[in-house]
Amino acid sequence: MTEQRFKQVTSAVLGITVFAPVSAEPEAVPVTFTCPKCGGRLGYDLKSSGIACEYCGYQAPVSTTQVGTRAGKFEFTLETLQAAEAGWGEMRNQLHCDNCGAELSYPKGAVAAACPYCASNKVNVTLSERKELRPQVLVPFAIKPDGLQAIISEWFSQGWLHPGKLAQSAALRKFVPFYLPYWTFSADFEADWKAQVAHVVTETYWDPGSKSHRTRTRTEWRWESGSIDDQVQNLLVCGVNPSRLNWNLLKEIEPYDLRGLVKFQPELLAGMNAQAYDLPLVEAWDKGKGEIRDLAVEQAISGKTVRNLSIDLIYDNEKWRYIFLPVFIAVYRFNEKTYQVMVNGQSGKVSGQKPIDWTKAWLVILACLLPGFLTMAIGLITSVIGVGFPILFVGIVLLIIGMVIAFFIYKEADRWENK
Amino acid sequence: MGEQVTEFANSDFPKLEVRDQLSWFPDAEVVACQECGRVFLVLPDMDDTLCPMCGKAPLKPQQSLVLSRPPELLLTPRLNNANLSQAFAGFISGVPYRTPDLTAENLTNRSRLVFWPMWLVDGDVKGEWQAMMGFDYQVKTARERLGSGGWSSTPELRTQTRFEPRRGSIERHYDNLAVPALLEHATIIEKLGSYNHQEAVNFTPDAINGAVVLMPNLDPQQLTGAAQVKLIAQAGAEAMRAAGAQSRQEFSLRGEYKNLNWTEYLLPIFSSHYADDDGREHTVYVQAQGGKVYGPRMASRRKAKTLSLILFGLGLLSLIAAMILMIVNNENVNFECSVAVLLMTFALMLIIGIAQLLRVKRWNSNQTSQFPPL
Repeated sequence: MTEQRFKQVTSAVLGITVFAPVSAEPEAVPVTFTCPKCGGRLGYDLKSSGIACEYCGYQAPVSTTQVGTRAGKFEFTLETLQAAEAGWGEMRNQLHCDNCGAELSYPKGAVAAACPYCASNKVNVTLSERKELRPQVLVPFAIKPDGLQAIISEWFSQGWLHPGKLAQSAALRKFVPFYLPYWTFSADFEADWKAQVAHVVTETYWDPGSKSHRTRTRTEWRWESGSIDDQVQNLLVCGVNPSRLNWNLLKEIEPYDLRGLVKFQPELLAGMNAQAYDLPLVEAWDKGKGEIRDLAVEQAISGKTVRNLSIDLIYDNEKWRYIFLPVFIAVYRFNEKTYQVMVNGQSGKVSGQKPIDWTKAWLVILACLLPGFLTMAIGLITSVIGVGFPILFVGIVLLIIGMVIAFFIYKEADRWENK
Repeated sequence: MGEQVTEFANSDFPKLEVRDQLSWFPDAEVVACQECGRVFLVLPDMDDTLCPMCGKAPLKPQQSLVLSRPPELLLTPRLNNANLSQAFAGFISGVPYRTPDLTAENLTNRSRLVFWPMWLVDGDVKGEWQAMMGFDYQVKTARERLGSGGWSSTPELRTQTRFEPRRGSIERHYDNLAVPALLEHATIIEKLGSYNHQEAVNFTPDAINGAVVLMPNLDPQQLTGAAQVKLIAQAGAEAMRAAGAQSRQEFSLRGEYKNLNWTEYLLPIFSSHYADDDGREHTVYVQAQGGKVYGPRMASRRKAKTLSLILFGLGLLSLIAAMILMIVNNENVNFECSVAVLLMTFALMLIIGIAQLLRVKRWNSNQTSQFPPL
């Protein structure tokens, strides 16, 4: 066992020195990645899962330590909440490039970027002065570029309402690996609930009309109460503001297996796109609590029909952590319209918007309705000779069936475009 | 960290010696209790009075070991006669068949101010310390409620403590750390409550003002361990303050303790006494700062006996009346009822009379076992 290192800290009493443990984590400093062989741009290579020079082919492995769900969690201390609320100050947008000496200005919250002068990749891990608000763990990309192409080709080829040339679209080559900031939340919660619960009661009564006993059912509302004692572990809330990224798509590519969390290494972000959170911790936790509330309501109701439900909910042992999760994102234009596609960088699960060939869609909808119309028309014509009514009736039925099918086709087409 | 070294180099241990005259209590006479053996300094006119601590024997002049060096600090009594009388009045209330001598007035008139000793230790501590220091911090949580208007949330703050290891060195001098000077120190504090040492003043002979001064029965030479514990506790408290912590666990100190200087510190109690029915004296103590009273509150067996005899007499009269009625007319139904009532009265008087005697016996037995002399 290695002995813990200590360093002297301020003492409030003369004649007494105080030493506190030194964090095992090295001090966070911005890191510049340049090739030791040719001075070219070094970046993380998804194919080899190491860093590689795109000019001379130099490669080096990146050692990672898998920590999984044992990764450190933090409490909602007032200091952390205030720091998390403060956002990224203007000063933090300035970075020095160690390679060419340039003073660079990055977008707010940029964690990884390239120097525009010497092209060296930089990873800025000093965004926050508070350690817990710096990236400490992430799930590395498990999907290799080849695998991604196969997944995307398959996904684009699915469905028959989409334009035929979509599968050959340039969008296939536009997927960019992103490390997205996520908050994970864990908490114990206790809830006391009270509600009127519906009970269906069968009773026998005397029916004067039929002069016999008959049975009937009625709903009886009874006050009931109960308590819930449960917990949530590793509830994921994306740290990117929903106005900037489609949360519906992000939800659809979940889940992530957090057992794959590894300790943060700047090399893992070299040349990648990574942005610090812009949805503050408090707001993210509010969203997380929304899911816990839904869970509490679901457990309280638990299949029952209730009314006047009231719940008192208290939280305990609330913890959070700040992580990066891998996503491939593509934003492409088709027929002057913008579409977004996301791929889970760990599991390969895809979600996205796909353009619809509306000519094809309307033709299909028309084809659905046509048998009904035609049959009705025949019915009308043959009604002149007195045999048309059954045909007309069949036509109406076919039209209704056709309309239902057409409605679902329209909804599905619209969903693909506007997820 | 090296081996633990405990040193008491250059320490000044005060000597208890036989003296006739003391510079700090000029007219004092050295007396001792023949029963409990405690040694006191009293004014000459106070010898032959009852021992203020055990109350079982008179104080007699005796050559004994006393402290020649004057005390350093003293706590002056906060109670005046009115407070004392009030404290005694509260003390004697609720005693069944109170002993005639047990009155607030008697206790107040007989009360004597007694100063009992503690040692004060000054010393140097030099060494290395380590501990788990506790730092308080606040976490934000919430209490939420779903009602007819939807969810509402009330934020709450919860204080928690995070323990972290800290270590360091210490080189400090500490003054006036109080260490027991009496074997019965813990008992006195337990029975009478602790003192507010912040109110201690420098000793002057006038401050004693004719009071009785009890001499230490613990020698400082035997108390180095206790002094070390005090020094460690003080060092721990200061290390905690130095680290900016609010609590500490597992504090340990390795080093040396030097230049111990021992002086005396006097604490006040009032001692009073009363006699029970049998003439046995019982001592009552009052903590002269807080006013807490300790001592047995004896009931009067004589009073209880008198009442019982009256009850027995009434019972006997009822019995005689019942017998006469039975002899006079034993056929009348009304007379039979009266006889029954009289017999029941006899039985009742007998039971109540015996119960009073038993009650007082039990009360006194409890008092003497629960409140032995200090």
